[in-house]
Amino acid sequence: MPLVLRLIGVQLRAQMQYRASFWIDVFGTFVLQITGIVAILGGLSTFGAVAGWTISEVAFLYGMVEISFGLMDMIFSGFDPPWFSNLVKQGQFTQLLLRPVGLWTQVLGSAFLLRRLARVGQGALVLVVALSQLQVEWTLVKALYLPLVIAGQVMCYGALFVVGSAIVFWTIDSVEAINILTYGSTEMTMYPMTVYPDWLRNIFTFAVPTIFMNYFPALYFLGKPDPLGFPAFAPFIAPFVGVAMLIFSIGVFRIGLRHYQGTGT
Amino acid sequence: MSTHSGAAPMITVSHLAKQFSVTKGGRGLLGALRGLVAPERVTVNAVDDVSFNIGRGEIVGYLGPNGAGKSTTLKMLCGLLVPTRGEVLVNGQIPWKDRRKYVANIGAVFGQRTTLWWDLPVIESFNLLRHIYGIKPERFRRNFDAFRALLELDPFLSTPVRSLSLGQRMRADICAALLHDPSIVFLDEPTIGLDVVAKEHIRQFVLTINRERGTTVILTTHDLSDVEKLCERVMIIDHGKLLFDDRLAALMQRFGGKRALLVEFTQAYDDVRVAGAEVVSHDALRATYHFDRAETSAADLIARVSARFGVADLAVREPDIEETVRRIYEEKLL
Amino acid sequence: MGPMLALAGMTIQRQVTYRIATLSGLATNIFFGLLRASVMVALYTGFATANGLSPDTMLMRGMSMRQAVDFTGITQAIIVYMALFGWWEFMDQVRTGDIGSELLKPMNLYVSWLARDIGRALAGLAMRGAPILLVFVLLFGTRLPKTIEHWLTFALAMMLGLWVSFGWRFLLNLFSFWTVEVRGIGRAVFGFAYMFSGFLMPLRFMPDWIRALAWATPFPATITVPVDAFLGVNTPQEMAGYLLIQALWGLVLALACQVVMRRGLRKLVIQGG
Repeated sequence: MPLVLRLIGVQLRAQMQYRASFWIDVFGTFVLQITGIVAILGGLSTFGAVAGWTISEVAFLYGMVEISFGLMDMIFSGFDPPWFSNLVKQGQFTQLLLRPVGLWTQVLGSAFLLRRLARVGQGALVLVVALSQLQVEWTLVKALYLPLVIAGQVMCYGALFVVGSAIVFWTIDSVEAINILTYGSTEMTMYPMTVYPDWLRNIFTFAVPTIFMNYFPALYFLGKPDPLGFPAFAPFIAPFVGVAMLIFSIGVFRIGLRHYQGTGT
Repeated sequence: MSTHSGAAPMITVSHLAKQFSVTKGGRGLLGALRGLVAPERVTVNAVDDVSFNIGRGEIVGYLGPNGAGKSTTLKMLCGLLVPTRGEVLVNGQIPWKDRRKYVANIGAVFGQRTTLWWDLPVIESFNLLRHIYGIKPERFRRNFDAFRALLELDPFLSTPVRSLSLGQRMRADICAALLHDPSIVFLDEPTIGLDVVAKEHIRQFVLTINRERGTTVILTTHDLSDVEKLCERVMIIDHGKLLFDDRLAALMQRFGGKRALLVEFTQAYDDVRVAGAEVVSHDALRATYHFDRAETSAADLIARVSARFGVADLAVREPDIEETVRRIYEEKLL
Repeated sequence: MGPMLALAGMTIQRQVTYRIATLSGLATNIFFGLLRASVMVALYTGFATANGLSPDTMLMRGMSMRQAVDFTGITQAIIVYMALFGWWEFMDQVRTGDIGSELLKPMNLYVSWLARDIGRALAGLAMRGAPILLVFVLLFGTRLPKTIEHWLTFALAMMLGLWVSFGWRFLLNLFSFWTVEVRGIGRAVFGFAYMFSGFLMPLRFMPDWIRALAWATPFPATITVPVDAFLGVNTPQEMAGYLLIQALWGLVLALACQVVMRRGLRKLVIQGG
């Protein structure tokens, strides 16, 4: 068995020691997320649409992001910047450095919060409800591409977590502004990107290319025209962008580690 | 300064230096506000031109007050920190070059932290470490059986680490650091916070490992008895500089000879001097004498003091390493 | 008043020390405010276009686009003040047992913690709230209250709002005397707080059933009332009614806290925590 799975298995067993606590956390997280989206969609319903997108279409965007972010949040628990900051501050990261195994294996294996499935479940619920309201013309390609988009988003948001953790090497404390990248870009991608001023959209197109992760794929799934005039392949690069961002984040993490080993704590 | 080496040095450190740039925090509300705009930065020499060799199979005590540079040196030897200047070779490898390859051959225990999994039974942590270090099953079994007996791990092998006492946790951590047969082990404050019995346990184990397996041991501690029982050789560092590097006996002979007698009088005296001891402090009702064990016995001195003054209470204090080291530095004895 | 002031002052000083945290938090609030303001503009513009109206003059349930944009700014500015993203200090003290030394002080726990929370809130207002508001005024033309009456109404609504906010947060934390699971359950409570306080979306935009449910809870008193007071969307009579609701919730929660606290402390003393 690969070591990373062995380490994650250990985390799961530890969480199952506190079964009641686990379910209460699942419940709390689920309520926290679902109340949020009910409030937002409730508000939107008064207006009827956002930038030409119906409430159900926005719910589709939201469901996709939530499923992906929830999965990422679980898989990349070890790279959640506040958690990683604690690893560094409390010296556990030092222990990881003293073991002859790759840091990725160990950090990914240092936490695996199963309760974040609550968020995935909530996103799936919203997605299913949205799809039941929408007339999506399903094709085999669409059905096969949907999980790839989710995988791409998982990698994309995971990369943002890793960059956030890399910053911890300089700041030691987790920096709240990283929330702009993580929670900010997820909240951003739950609305059609034409909502935002050009300069802001350009940042999330060219600097942090999250626009390709949710908005463009959704145009394709829902059969909506592209008002931004991007090339026709724009909806299909989500998985590649995800991989590229993950590779980039690994590089940033390495630079951070080098800095950390130069200064220590 | 003398150098010690076996056939081939296990560790070669030459002109090692580490500088940090730290932010100076302002005082009070105004200071905090100023820090917000223009934080002041200063450079600190944590380790300053340190050189030494350590031979295979040596046990070396690395001493110094808090903030002297012990931990920084240890971190560089473990490859956790890259030095500003200087060279380190441990077993022919540069610690911070190929991390995974290097740490596979060392063991390290940082006393305040555990390498074990907090929520898991001890035995499962060992099993995970077996996979992490890729230890062959038969070798693991052999080492583990030997260590569990020496460290008496059996009573708490299936207890989660979070429920262990400090002494038990330390024993488990030391076992964890040695399961993969490292040729060198770094122990940072391995007895801190432990009771006398637990300390003794760990010292015996370290001695046994050193004798039977020839494991080289570098150890930092505040406890003089750790050093007395384990270390042939002592290095003292303060303010980043290596001040002393010689046999322990030489250290105690030169600087550790003075014991202290603390006396509380029943009334105030102007002159509290007695023969064979030096008055180092004296206020209204208290005095502290320093005396050399070679010249004066504690019994003689107490008799002399009691004969001349009304004594309410007294205590004899052995020189401790912390004080000896501070004296060495403050009085610039080296 | 002496010890209350000292406690509040200490908390303020502690918060000022977090340099990067403060600046980066500011950036975060500005970003989220910008995001939500963009959504508001898109909502009004879309609705106006579809219905042949002008987005600049139309009202949605009594709120103009300008006010809806200002809404996003002022809500961001009071997040920290109202501790909207979670507050577990008391729970942590109970769990670590530090509460013991607290009990030795000759002060009512509710009062001393309220003092501490006021310090925390004022620091948050100074370090986070005011700068955020300033940025919104400069970047997005957010309009500040113009008359002294308007400012006073806003200030009163903010004070009462904090009292209510502290009330329900402290009440929630008090349950740590009985269970270690306060955080998990509390997460759900904070979820309802987001929804019913009118933080994510103005309550007036919500469907009737959500609004009815919301006003049955103390949460609108913590966000909707101060924010509406800031925006000036209500008539003076309406505002007076809202302030009264705040005061009543503050009182009810204070009493509830005293009752629950006594029982909790009795349990702590008898069972040794």
